[in-house]
Amino acid sequence: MRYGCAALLMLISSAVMASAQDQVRFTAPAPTVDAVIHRDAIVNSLNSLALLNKNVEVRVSPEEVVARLMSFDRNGDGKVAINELSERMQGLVARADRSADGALDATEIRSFSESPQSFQTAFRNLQGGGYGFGDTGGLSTRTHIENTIEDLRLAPQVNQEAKRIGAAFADELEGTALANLKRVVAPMLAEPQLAEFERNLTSATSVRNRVITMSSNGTRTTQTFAIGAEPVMMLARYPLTPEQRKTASAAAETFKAEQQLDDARRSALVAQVSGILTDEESDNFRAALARRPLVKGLGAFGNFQATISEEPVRLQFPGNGAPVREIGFIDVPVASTSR
Amino acid sequence: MRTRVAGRTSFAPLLALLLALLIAPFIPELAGEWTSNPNLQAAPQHQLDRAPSDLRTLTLPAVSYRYASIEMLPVHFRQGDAQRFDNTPTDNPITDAGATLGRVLFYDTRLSANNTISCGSCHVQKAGFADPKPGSRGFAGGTTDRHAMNLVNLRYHPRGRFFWDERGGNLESMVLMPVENHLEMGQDLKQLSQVISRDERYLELFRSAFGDPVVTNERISRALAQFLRSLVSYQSKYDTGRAAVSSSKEDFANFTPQENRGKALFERNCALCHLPDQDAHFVMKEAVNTGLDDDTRGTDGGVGDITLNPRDLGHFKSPSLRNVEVTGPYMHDGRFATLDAVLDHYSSGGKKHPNKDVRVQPLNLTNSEKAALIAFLKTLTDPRFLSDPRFSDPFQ
Repeated sequence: MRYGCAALLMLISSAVMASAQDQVRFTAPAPTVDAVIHRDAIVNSLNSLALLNKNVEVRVSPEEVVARLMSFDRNGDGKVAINELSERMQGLVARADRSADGALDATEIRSFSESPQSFQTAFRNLQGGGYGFGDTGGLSTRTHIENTIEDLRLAPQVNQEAKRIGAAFADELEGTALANLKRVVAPMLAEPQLAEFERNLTSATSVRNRVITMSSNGTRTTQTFAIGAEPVMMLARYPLTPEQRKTASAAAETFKAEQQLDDARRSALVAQVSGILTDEESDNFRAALARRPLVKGLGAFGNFQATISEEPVRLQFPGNGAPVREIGFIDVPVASTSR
Repeated sequence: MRTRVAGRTSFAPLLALLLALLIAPFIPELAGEWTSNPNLQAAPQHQLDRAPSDLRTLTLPAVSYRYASIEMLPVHFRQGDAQRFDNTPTDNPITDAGATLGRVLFYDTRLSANNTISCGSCHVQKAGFADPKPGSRGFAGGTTDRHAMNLVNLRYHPRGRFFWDERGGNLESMVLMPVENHLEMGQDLKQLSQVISRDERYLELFRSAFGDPVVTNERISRALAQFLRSLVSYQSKYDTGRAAVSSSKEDFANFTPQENRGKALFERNCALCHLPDQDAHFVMKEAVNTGLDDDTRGTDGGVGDITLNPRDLGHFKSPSLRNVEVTGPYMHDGRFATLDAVLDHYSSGGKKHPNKDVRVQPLNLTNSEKAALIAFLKTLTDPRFLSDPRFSDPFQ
């Protein structure tokens, strides 16, 4: 099954802003299809990418830019003349002075601030894509606990025991959350549907990382791409009444929340492990558990077109041996890597 | 083995220097001779802590230093992802002769309007080519409002944009901006090539670098850019440890437990920004707002003041963390004197600027975590780089 390219481009463009520079670096050739990605990667990643995309929301208005620039108007004539700007900012006048009077007024500043000028386009580059929190973007609490213990650099035996305790804690957390969710959705789904839903959910939550690899002039690279287990999306494929969907969605949110390490759960875990840790290690463990793990979204590959594959694509992951399942990839033929 | 480029006697520079220092305060015209732009005032006396470079002896090795070869770089610099960070343009690759010329220009005070300061006056080698002071003193005694960035591994800034606000499009185009800046070096670019070409010692250097002795601003820029790209730090304790393992995530055998712990903390909490997609360069891919200010009314808007893009306000470029132990004070305005203060900032999560990057969250670091992180950051110090004669002042 093939989807149109537009869906993928919309998806990627929502999380990625590529600069002209990157478009050169990752120039795609003329053919219409440059990439392949498994459809599940798209479906499951919608929510995660939306979360990651929050990082590129505009939170400062052009009016604030206008106010800031006009604060340089020392003589109060309603315009910012070139000699009222610091030397490093004086290039602005040449770029934004539409009336060619050698100064910028509020209208010109606002217009320049709001318009997608070529300069800004070239300037802009979120090469790394968006960023978000792993706890809402697919990194399980289990992984967070394991990583935190690993970072403590404990003695081998202590490390092993701490991980055992952490895994048991995660088992209980995930098991309880899943049981609560199943209790709510079970009356709404047929038995095979419930089995499928549970299978998909369990599978998704067990995935630590999903990767997208790309080739650049023959060089294959790998990027971690966190895709969350999104029960709401998974439930979308089943015919539910509006009321059922509302109830199921609420349960799905509870399912996610119940797996987060809130203060109480964090304290409970630290208490379980504290018997084998020094006070300093316990303090460090608690502090690290409280940090929300950050993950990186899709990288900026520039403009390209892709088709979506129905079949999962298995890739060789040259990682550190951690259990990783690859579900999709983007393979971008590169015409030029000129810098 | 060293030899002199020019055929001066060994006494001439010393005598000239003594003479100049003795009579300069009494004869303003002499200062005028040093000044390329007669409209600009000579520097205050306190700035003349080093003699102008034309009154010192230019000493270069008989056999040029090697700047161009990259075979000595460790593997983690040459792997696919790390290599893609290289911003060297195809039309200005590093050559030994070009970088040698760039080195001489970098330390030549005649690039300033009154022959008092060079690029190397503010970008100090032992400080990782940063300025140990928060603001840098300009040719006429004024002080900049930004900290002179370190010049470590500029070659590996993938966007190839420079200055704290990224207004410099590439090294070739940005190197003359401080030279021309009215606070920093104040040189009239229309006169620069004439000033340089008056010194016969330069003619051979330009001939070696470009095939003929013609001095142009473009060639000056290209040579300076080559020298700057040659400033690659790759022999730190980190590099030694990294070369011995297959992944930077492994513990390094040459690290102390505290340094390895710090490395793990860095990988988990800092690397997403400072070590993206490779483990060699410790640079950031894009300018970021790290919550240094509460709002957009701060005195310095960073990238936003250049683009007027609301989203860019408060965004600043980050220099490489290599040699960060010696490149303080830190941040664009040098507000943090120590690494402890920097970590305190990130531990608290910074201020609530609306553009603050989502990655800058309160880390709430414990004291032992801070100590471990600082121990790790100090493994990025590269003593050989900080004293490498290839990068030192050639004017004796």
